[in-house]
Amino acid sequence: MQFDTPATTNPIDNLKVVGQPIHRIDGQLKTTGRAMYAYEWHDPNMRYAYGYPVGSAIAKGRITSMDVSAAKRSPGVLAVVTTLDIGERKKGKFNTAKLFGGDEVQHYHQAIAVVVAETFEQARRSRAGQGRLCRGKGCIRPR
Amino acid sequence: MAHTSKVSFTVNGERRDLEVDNRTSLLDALREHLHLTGTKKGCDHGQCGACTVMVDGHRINSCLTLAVMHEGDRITTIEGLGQPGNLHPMQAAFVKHDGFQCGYCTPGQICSSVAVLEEIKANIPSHVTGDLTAQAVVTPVEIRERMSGNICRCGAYSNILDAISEVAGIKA
Amino acid sequence: MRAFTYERASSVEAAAKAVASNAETKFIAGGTNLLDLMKLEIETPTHLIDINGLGLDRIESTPEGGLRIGALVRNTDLAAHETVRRDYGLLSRALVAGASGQLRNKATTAGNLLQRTRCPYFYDPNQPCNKRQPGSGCSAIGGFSRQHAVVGVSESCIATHPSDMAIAMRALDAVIETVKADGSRRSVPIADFHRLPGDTPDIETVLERGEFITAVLLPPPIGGNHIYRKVRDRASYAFALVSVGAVIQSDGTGRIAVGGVAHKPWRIEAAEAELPKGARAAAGVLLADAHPTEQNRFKVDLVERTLGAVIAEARG
Repeated sequence: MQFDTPATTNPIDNLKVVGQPIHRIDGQLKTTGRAMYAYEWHDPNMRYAYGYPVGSAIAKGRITSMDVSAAKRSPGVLAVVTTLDIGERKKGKFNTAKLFGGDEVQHYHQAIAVVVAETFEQARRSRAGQGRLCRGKGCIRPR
Repeated sequence: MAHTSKVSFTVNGERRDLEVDNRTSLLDALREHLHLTGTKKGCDHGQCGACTVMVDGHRINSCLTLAVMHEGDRITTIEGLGQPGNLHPMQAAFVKHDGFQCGYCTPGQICSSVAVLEEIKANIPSHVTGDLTAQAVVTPVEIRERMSGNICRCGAYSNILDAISEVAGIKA
Repeated sequence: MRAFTYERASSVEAAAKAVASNAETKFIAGGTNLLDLMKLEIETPTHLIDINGLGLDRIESTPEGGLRIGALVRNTDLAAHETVRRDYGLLSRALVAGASGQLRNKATTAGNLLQRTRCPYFYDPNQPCNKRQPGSGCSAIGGFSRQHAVVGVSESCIATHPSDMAIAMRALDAVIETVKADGSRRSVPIADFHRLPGDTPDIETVLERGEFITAVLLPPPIGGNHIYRKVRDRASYAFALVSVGAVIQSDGTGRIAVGGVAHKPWRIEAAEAELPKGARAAAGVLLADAHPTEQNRFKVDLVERTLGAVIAEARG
């Protein structure tokens, strides 16, 4: 967008709508904690599992293998999905980083696996140290 | 001894009895066990304030305390301050002054701001309090300092300040 | 977070014994530092003893005219106490300069003394850290060290103690009272309480296993101008790059303790003798043995300038 012509009269600069404290329809819900965000639904007919991401311990490189056996044996764990389980995926038009999948590590703490367990505490516990239990090549440690 | 415990506390006036994994934070007890999702998890490390609740009249970060540590306590969450159609004055002020965008920090902002006004009334000093031996007063500078534990990624701060100032009866 | 069993302490002695007899048992008071570290598995107790219900949350005057502060007094309550505000203003100022309102409402006196460094490498289990894993190395030396210590450092560790309250207590000559697992009691001047890193940065205080802090004792008030000046990247809610806690008398003498520069509150009585000569003289003695890194060298000048501002403020 080139800002090379006068703005003249337009809805934003007139401050008729933008900039005014308009009562929003979500206002009462958000200020009373009743607005439901994506992962806050508790449907009584469903059982929920909890996922916790595993972050890469290296900043750059390629993963050749991952040992998630300890995580899989951890109490309450239902599944461990690693980036190697998912093949490399095509990036969308507006993505900069690669999507979860494939063997490339592009940045420190990049999600390279997700642990799924029956409770949040079990998922969080089972991923401890997992980021280090992967072998790679051309690995660059962050400093 | 087990890795779980029974605990009883009062939430928004209602007694609740739970048996939880000892690792369960008060925040997760409220959100996942009691399904009171008004209190939000932003950082889970006591840095953002989205998890602010009142325990026995004091605001705390509920992510940095264990549910099992609160036997017998009286807890107030955002849901307990007011409901749609019956808003607490602070909630109404946030709506009037548009003190939010995405709304995720909002429950923590509101719980904190209610507590801030009470802390000033109770003569608790802050970093910007001039005379330590005088009664604490409500000023915009005091509100800003005392609200520094609640961050807002959407940047609604100026309107949050307006809302709190109105309830406090001062000019922002 | 490792799974753990939990109990509420029945007495100080029982709690001390339990912690002494099991290396994986810890006290929990406010929990605002411990739970943070447990979530990251930097602390991994398998049993927690909740010491909140033991009645150690009182502030009482002593027969000598001082103040005994219970170990479980919340930071907010300590800062707001009438006697503290009137007679130990430096302590109030230091307390409210730290953390946030929510954290101050939960954090305790003893917990504040015992809180651990916020060095980002200590906090990252992927990085070598001699404090977290003795012998693994220090990532801050040669890494990002802007926030780290300039004095009292070693080749093993350049971390700082993050507490504001401890700076004030050091300037006010606080004494820490404890009960050991065998029931014996002792009093440790705060000057001797925190250790420098040396070769064992994992050992941060002189407390023995299970030794339980019951109170902090302040001597009778000394009057003077009480100033806590904290220099940081933000106006609020950030740790100090450098802080100066001072009590300055009308004749220009006084006490100074510096934060953000060492593994413990930094105070040198010989530097205080130089106070009437000004900030340069005093800071020169305070930081005579400074060994900064390239990235935190600015702290040496910053201490002198902050001290100069404090002296000017005291003069009025």
